[in-house]
Amino acid sequence: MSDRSGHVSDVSGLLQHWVQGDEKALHALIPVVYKELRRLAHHHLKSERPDHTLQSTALIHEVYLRMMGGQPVALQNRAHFIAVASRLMRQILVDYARGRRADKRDGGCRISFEHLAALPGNGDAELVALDQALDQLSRIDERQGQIVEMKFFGGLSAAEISQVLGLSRATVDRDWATARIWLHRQMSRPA
Amino acid sequence: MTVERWQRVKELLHQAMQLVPEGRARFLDDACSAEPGLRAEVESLLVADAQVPADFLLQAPAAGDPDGTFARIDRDSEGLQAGETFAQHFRLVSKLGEGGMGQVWLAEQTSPVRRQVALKLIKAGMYDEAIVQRFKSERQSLAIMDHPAIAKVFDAGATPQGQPYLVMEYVAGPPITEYCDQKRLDIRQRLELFAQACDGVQHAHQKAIIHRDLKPPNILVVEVDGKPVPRIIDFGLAKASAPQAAGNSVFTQFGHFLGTPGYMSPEQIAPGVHDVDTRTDVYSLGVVLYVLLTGLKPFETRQRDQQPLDQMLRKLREDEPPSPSAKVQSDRDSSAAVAAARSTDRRQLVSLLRGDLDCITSKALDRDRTRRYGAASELAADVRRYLNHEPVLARPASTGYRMRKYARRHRVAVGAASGLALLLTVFGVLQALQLRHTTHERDRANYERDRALSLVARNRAVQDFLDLLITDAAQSDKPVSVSDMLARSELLAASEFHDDPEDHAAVLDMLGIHYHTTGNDAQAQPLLRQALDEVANSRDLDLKAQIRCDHAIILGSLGGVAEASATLHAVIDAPGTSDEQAAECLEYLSYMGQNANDAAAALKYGNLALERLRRSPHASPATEADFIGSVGFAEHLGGHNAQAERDYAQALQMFARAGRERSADAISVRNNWGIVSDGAGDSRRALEIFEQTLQIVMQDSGKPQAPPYLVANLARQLENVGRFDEARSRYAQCVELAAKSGTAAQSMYCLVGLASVSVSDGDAGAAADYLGKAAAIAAGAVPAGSPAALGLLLTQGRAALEHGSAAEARAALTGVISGQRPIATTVRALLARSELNLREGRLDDAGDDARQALAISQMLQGGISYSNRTGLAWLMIGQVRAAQGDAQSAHDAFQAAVDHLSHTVDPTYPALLDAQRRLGEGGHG
Repeated sequence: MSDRSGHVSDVSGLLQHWVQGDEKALHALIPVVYKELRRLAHHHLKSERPDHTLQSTALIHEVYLRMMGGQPVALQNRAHFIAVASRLMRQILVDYARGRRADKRDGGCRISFEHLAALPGNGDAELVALDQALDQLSRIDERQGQIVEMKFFGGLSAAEISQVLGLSRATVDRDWATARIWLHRQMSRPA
Repeated sequence: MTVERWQRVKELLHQAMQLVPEGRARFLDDACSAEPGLRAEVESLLVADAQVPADFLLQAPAAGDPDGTFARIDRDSEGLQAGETFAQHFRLVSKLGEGGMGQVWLAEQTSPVRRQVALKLIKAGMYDEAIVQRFKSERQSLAIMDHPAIAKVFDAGATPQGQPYLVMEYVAGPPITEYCDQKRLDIRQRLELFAQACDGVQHAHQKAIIHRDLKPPNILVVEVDGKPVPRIIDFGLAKASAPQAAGNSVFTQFGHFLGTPGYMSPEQIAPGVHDVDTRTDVYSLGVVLYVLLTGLKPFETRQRDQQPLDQMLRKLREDEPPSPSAKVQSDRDSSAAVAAARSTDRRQLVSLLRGDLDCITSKALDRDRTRRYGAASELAADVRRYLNHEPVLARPASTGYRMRKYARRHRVAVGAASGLALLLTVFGVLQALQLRHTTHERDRANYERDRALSLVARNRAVQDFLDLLITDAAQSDKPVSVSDMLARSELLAASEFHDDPEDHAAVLDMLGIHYHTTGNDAQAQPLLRQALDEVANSRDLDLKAQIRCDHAIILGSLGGVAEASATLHAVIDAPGTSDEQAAECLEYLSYMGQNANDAAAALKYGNLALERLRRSPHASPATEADFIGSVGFAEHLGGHNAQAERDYAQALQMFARAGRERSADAISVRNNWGIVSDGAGDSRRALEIFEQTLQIVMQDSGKPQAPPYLVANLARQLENVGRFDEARSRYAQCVELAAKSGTAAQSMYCLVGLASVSVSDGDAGAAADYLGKAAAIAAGAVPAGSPAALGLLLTQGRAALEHGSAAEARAALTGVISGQRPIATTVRALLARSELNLREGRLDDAGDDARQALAISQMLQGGISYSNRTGLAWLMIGQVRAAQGDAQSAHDAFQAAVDHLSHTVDPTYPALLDAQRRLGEGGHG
């Protein structure tokens, strides 16, 4: 009754195709992943327990595991998946942050999304500011923007990022280090 | 900042950061000596660096998992040990396996009954509540399965901690493939075992439970009273196919258990397709069967290097697997061992598999699930038919079975000869509709994405419709007739597609065309009219154009030729009409020409259609071949039979190159070719062609009975060459077949044939009997003046002539001769009347009739060298000349008669013998 053969979902199939250069597969993938991420995020955020918060990377991993049916997939695929998902996660989190800010202005605060821990001060505002700064960075260096996205929103390691983007580890490290500085300076400037 | 500048800033910043702060100023002095601005920028960033908090961006944008939801469930089952108690009632004995879905333990249940069970612990991940919910709801359905081939599911539930589990019957047996190999079961024994497994799957399907992961490790074999019995496990992981079960189940939405590579069906891996159904299990059973027969999975190779997964998936989606016999044959390395495990040798194994078993597996494994066995029980039934030496239902999937065109072309082609109408089933129509969509989907890959998506959706809609139709039909206890199905589908279509006018229109169009091809234009017209309304605002230009053209051709059949023609022209000339669609509509104009016997128009539009089709980037060689065949028929109508033959030869070659030589369209072209040869008078050739055609059709193992029209055409040629006995038995077969599955016109045609043979035999009584029956059928069913009616009249005339009823004979024959256009029947009638005149001593009239017969027959030859009717005409002329005392011209005429007849009929044909005798007597008849 052992069941050692891996189970492959269509998402994994699409991912394979995408990794092999089929851009259409990516297009098919994005809405599916986005929907699941959003659903999961929503599920967690609307939870009535005030302490129930969610880590974006954990969320992505959760979605990943669900979509892959829990089978071991080549590390490379996992990294690719997360690379895609981190962009989407960013979008989702920023949307929420914007939404909450709007709610607050309306005087309501129905959802608590406590600890955007590492961002000092008002988490939502910081997240929105980061989003904008990241946009600006991407305009002058798209790859660098991607690296930040994958590392911050997707929780990918530098090694994984270098694999996904086909860059040397040193390049990823350098881009990451300089991006942090640039972004922080950008976010510290008065709007 | 510009892109280039940032690159430089970034590089310098990075390098500076590697240095101790004291060394940075000097480094920047050197590096930026020429660009002070650059230095300022880098320095500002170095200052900013000092202000970046240590953890900036280093933690994910949310804090931990305070209540530990993430990890909890997995932890529950991770630390389990043998000997532990699980969920109070189970003592774990040993771990049987572990995989993506969770762990399986052999456990001892202690309460309420003591027994060994297999305990399956499902890895739940996070949505514990949802999964538990799902399991609770599924417990019910699992418990209702009760079949010897299915391992019992005792219970399904979850621990208070939320760990879902299944309690199943413990099956201590090897996988079916291993068992068969160990016991060296031969093919028959394997098939018997396999059929039992199918029975189990069928049982589950009837309970609305799909397995979704059928494979040998899930089909175990135990011995009961020394006999092997399959037992299927893991139905517990299946998703109940009942809609309410799928609705709120998170697990099924994206827990997405999908199947095992190698055993999963193409639809399981198709992007965006999430509706697996019972046919998915049929596919997997097909793979199991394949492995039982060949030792390999369809796309598996013995090569050591495993195929990359994506390559395998692509093959699964795009390629046909080799047939089992071909697989064994090509597997040189180990096929001897494979055969030995089946208690046979390699050569015998290949020949055992070839034929029926190849067909059965390929039907089960068809990529298109609509062409698979519809149920596991059908697969089992076919396997058992094989075991009982009965003909199996499976047959090679005829790709592109373009039912509508088939019928349409036959109507035109055979209509002239035997009044054929083809019986279509709603199935076929809808299948064709589906094909239309898939073709579109494929061909228009470059169209904008939305359009492709809507087509996919429509394809799905039609699929659903089909399912609904079948289910609906299956619910009634009565046998369902085609007209029932049609009526039902009209109703269903209206209710099913009320919110999607395009889908509704597509279905109405198909139904309308079905009525049209079965000669029911009055019923077809309102459906097409409605379809037109539905697509009035549609942006699917092709669909719109198609419906307009289909509506037009029906109008044309109903007599509105001018309006039909105007509509067709308008569609063809509209700027938005695709080349393919325009070609189809031009083809309609050509048909209208053919049906109106307007050879010039038929030819002109046929050629235009071909030209337009060739302009389309999506034209398939098979469609082109089809169009060429149609041009051939137009050439034939125009009297250019030699050219028609060349067209047919080309068309058939193209079909062959496209691998479609046995397709319905190719068969139709062959049939038309036979008709052309017959019309030209080359009976021997026509006979050969019809014999071949029938043979090809009969090779198709799924068609246990011959189509009546082909048998009729063959019978007529047998009669024409003088094999009266064979002709009689074929006509008789045709009468029988037509009664079962043919039309009234076919029955009549073949009864007339029987009468005609009886006349030739001089059996007036039998002839009268057959003619009486034929006339009874003809009344009301066959329009006067149609070729079929003229055939009846001719034979009535000939019978009267044999019988000595001169006046009656003359009336009948003259009736045929005064028919609108000269055809082969006219020639026969002229010759018969000539003989009557000769007998009555009216030599001039006899000569006139014979010469007219000769002229028409020569015209009909259309470039073909020899004609039996021309031979008969010469024979008649010779007789008249001899009677007139002109020995020399009589001799020449007999010579010509012998020439023509000896090339076109059997040597024993009475008229040929007669001509030879008269020739030998020196022209004195």
